[in-house]
Amino acid sequence: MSEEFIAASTLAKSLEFAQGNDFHAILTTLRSPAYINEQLLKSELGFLVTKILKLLRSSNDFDLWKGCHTSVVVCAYNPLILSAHGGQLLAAIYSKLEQKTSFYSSVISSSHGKELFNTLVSSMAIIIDLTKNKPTLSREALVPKLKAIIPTLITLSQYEPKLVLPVLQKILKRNNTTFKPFINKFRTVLTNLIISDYASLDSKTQKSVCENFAYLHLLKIQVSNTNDDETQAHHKVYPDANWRTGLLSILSQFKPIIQLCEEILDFEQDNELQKLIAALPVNAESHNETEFLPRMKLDFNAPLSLWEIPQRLSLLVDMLVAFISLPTPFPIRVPLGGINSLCEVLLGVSNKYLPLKKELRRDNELNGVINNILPQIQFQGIKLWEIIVSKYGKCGLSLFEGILSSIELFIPLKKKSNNEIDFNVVGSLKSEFFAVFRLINMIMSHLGHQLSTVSVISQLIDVALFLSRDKTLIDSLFKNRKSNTKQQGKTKQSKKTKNNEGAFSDIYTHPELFVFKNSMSWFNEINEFLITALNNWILPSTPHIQILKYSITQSLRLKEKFGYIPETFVDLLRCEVLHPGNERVSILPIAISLLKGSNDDMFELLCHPKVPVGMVYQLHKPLDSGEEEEERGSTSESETITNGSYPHASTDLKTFRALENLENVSIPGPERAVPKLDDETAVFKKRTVEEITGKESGSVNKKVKVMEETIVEGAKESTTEVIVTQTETEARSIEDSEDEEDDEFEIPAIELSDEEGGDEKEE
Amino acid sequence: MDEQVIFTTNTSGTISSVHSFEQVNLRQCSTQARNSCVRVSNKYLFIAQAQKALINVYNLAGSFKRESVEQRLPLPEVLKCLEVVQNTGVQYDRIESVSHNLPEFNLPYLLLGSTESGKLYIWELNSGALLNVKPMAHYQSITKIKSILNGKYIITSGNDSRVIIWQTVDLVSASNDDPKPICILHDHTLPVTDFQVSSSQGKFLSCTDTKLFTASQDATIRCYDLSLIGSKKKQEERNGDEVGIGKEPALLATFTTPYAIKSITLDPADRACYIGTADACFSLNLFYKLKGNVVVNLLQSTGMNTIQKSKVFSLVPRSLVTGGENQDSDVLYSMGQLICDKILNSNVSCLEISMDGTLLLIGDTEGKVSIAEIYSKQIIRTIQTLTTSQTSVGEVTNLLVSPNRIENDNQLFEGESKGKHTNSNNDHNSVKIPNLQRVIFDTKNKSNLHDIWYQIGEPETETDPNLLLPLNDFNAYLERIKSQESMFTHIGKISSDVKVVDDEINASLSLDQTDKDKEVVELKANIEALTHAYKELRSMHETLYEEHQQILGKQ
Repeated sequence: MSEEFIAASTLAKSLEFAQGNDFHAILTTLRSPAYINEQLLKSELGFLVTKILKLLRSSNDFDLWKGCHTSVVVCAYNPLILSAHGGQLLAAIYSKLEQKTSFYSSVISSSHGKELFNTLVSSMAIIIDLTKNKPTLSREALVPKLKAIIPTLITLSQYEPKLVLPVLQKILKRNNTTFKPFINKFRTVLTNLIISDYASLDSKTQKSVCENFAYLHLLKIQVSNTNDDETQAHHKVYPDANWRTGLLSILSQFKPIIQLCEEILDFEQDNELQKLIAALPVNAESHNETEFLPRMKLDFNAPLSLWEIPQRLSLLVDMLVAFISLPTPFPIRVPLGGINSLCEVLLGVSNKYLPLKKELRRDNELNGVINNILPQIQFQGIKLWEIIVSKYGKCGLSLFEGILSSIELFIPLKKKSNNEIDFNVVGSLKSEFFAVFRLINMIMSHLGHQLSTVSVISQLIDVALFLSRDKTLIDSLFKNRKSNTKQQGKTKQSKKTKNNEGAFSDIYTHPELFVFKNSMSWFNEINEFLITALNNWILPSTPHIQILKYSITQSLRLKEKFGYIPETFVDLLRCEVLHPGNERVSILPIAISLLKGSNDDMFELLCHPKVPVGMVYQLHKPLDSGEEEEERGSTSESETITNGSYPHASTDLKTFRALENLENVSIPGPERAVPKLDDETAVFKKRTVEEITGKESGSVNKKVKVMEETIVEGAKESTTEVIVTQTETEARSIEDSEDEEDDEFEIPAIELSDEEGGDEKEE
Repeated sequence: MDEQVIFTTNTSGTISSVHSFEQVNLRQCSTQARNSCVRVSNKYLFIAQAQKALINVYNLAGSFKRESVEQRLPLPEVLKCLEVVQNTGVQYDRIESVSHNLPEFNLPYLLLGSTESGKLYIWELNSGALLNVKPMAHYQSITKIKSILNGKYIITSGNDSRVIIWQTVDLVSASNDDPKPICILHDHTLPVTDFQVSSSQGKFLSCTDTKLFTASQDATIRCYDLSLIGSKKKQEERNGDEVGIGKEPALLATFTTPYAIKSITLDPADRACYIGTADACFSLNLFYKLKGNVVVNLLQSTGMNTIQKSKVFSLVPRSLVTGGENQDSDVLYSMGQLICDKILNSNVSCLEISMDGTLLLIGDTEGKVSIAEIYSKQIIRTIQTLTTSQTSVGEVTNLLVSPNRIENDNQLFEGESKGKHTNSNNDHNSVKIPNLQRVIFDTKNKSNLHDIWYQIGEPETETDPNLLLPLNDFNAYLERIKSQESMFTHIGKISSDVKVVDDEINASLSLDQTDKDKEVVELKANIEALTHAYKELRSMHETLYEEHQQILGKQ
């Protein structure tokens, strides 16, 4: 048994010089469960670990790198090594990391320095991760080392935030008591990052900076017994007290910034908004501690400085989001109402209904900047709502209607028009609208179909359809050109300009190359929104037809492009078929021809309706078999089994047999399949029914059933099982249905011939 | 896997299971009304107490915790029916496409309770805030509250013989002081005792054929089609106004029975319904079989956009049919009579069906629950409250069945049970369910922060590719190794980093030279020493040899 795998010592030996494929092969082999063997532990595995440790301690970077990866793989797959040597390996990696960190600049100057740090940090993190929740291991191996590891990581996080912050975040969350002595140091590092370098970090790192900042507040405030204040004594200290302080301090920083906007927009026109702003939470406590952000420098004479407002808001929103969206070890109190009114205020900062301050109206440049930043300010509110809705779901249900009406403020309108959407602005806010649609989709999944504000939905449908068109970047160029050529035609100076246009030739000859295409994720979100809209409301004709057009043309286009129709478009087509709205004509045939060959279950069902398979079977005591065959012409029964007449009698054997059986059925006699409980010759009957629908001359439609009956003897239970495999249901057209008020719907059997469903009705 | 049965009687509460004989009594549990017990997120059981303005919270998780009351939630009034609206869908983060684990502390969104007078209380469980009170939601006592379609809608039925459909958002919305229902069904003439909604419901109320069955003391069961948009045409024609949305579900069928109906339950796939009366429990196949192979879908609607007269059927127990004239089911059907089977003779108070639709659980007025197989109509088992007292425990008021997993993940090993682990967690972090407020929460007051207690679960997968465990995806890990290795080994050996290599060589060269010098010196010294020794030896040898020669010469 032990001979069947490569000895660990062999692997260990070759590890030293392994490279490329050999190295990968060694790692792959080390995963084998054969090495999880206690007998090997002392000798073979010990040797392996010694080799790894040698690699880890070597001064060669490549060896070190190999050592890191080997120890990670070994620790991950071999619990024995993890428990016996995990601490050792971790210590070795850490000491290297510490060494390298102290020579950060020289290490990073070599080409692989960054990778080396990456490897060291991530393998350390992985081994730490592996020890988590293992009580002895983390107590013996991890926690004592963390005291040394944390300061190193904090130092390194100043240079490599992207690399180190996620690791620190994990440690912070899991071992926050061990972290406690370093909190202040880490806070300084993070504040530095936030104040000076925040803008130059990528969004993922920005996020982890904020998250780390929030996790600093995980530490519980100790209940100090020295406080003899009797009035305070009975106040319960919640575990989230510190967290809440942090959260509220961020929340309270919004108000002063929004009050700055008062300098731009005339808030006095809107009392409600003013009340809302006044009600925003402020920090009653001392400001020194919490307000670490530098003051903003805004100057109306340098309009670009106004850009700082949305930037600052974005930073604050990021931090607030971290506080409300992070997993915490204990429940936290979230001021949903406060955050909601903040969002409402942010959305309210719009020049849609509020005029600009009078003194600012002349400066064109300033106005341009203001028009630019206002949607960005609003967008911060949308970002925040998105998080609330996605993380808190129904808890925000009472706010949702308010959100919908606030979103209406985000849709730009043309100036001095009667609620016409300004599509130029909409085009420039595409990514913001993506978030809006995502938000709406999330909200709508919790709401019902009766809303107080439906107008926003119809506006959004317009926006959605507009933005889903492919956009050419040179559209405006052509517009300008036209007007130019007109002028040129008048002034006859065309020759000169032509000389300059050589470089533009691509634009004229291949304008299609300048088209900006929509991504699939955009279509997915839009389609979901349209599906919701179609499902919940009956839209007026115009948007409905526009949606139909959009879905059909885009499906066809994408089908030509990919060879299949993407899922959400199929969903949209389904939904359009199910909800024809006010339209008389169903797009079912269009949808099916589009989807030809793609075998969609839903459309298959729509074309060939079925009944759910399987019935509930019960034994019942035998009736006194009064079941005679009766013709019930008067009872509107089309399904009566006609005994004799076979208009389509064929010489087929099957038919003959069926005919026999039919006759059997009609005669009340001993062969009757009326099961008796105490009947020993219990009969298990399985019938398949074939139906030929014949349209007879005259007004009476007769249906003939050809039945095939197989009798299985000896079944224990006597039961009659009817397999209704297929049936036709309501493939009826509207005009038929009026005639059939009283006609209970029968479920006939298999194999619908190609007759129409309407045959079935009777006069 | 097993199915947990929870039932309460007037004076007791019991947790048992369908297939095993485990049974636990809930302490201090007394209920008065039906539907006064609700299961909350697989962990808690809320039971509104009889004659006390109190909800007892029992912990269903944890092996020994079930019996005692975990928490008591005081109420402003005695409540009769309870229901919760779950907060679903939050565990999947759409923005980042990550699933989160369920956190330790997760509560449903709403708790609804009704009083004797037909008042409807709506609490937000995460904060305990009383979001709304709807006085006179029904004119008499409410008999059942149920949330459907992911909590988008709420249906209530009452002794005032009405069934009302509410939109959840209307009930909690800040802008809506006096919520209006979406529609009121008043086809029944006596108190509505029970109703059931199809277990499978679509995403939207409009496109589903979700059915609502209402049962009443007037001995009728009515079945409605809940697709509201579909009935728009009918609405327009009837009312003549241009509402965008139909307001009334279509009545598909009415079934009359000889007895007042106390309870109803549906097959999980809507294939049959089971009717509890004071006399017996009946079953009715909704795909009704006639003679031969004809099967009638009793609830077939003729589709959208049409006016449909509802069908009226009367149910005849099979025993009565056999006793009467020789009649065929077809003939009966043509007269609008349906034969239904009697499953059990007992005074039914509650009905529930098992997961696979083969077992019917029947709670009766004597306080016992019988588990009957539907196919054979045999009683498989009877569960009774464990009690020593001689007095009757009263009738069964609540009956809940839910599948539960016995095997937990830790049973792979015979180690400590999972309960222990969570226990230790609980000690530190458990937060009680916030107390339910008595005063209506003021949503208009914007300075109110509206705090809710909330916990977000850990993400299921590691989001940072750098910290991905090799266990989860070794190939991805190997990929990362390869990409890093390229940085070390300078693929193609045409590294532009000549300088570094040079440095290394220089360094090694210089190292070599000094080494060599030393070595040369050492070697020279060695050679010198050796030659010296050799010369010495040689001279010794020569002298010795000469001596030897001399001795030989002498001889």
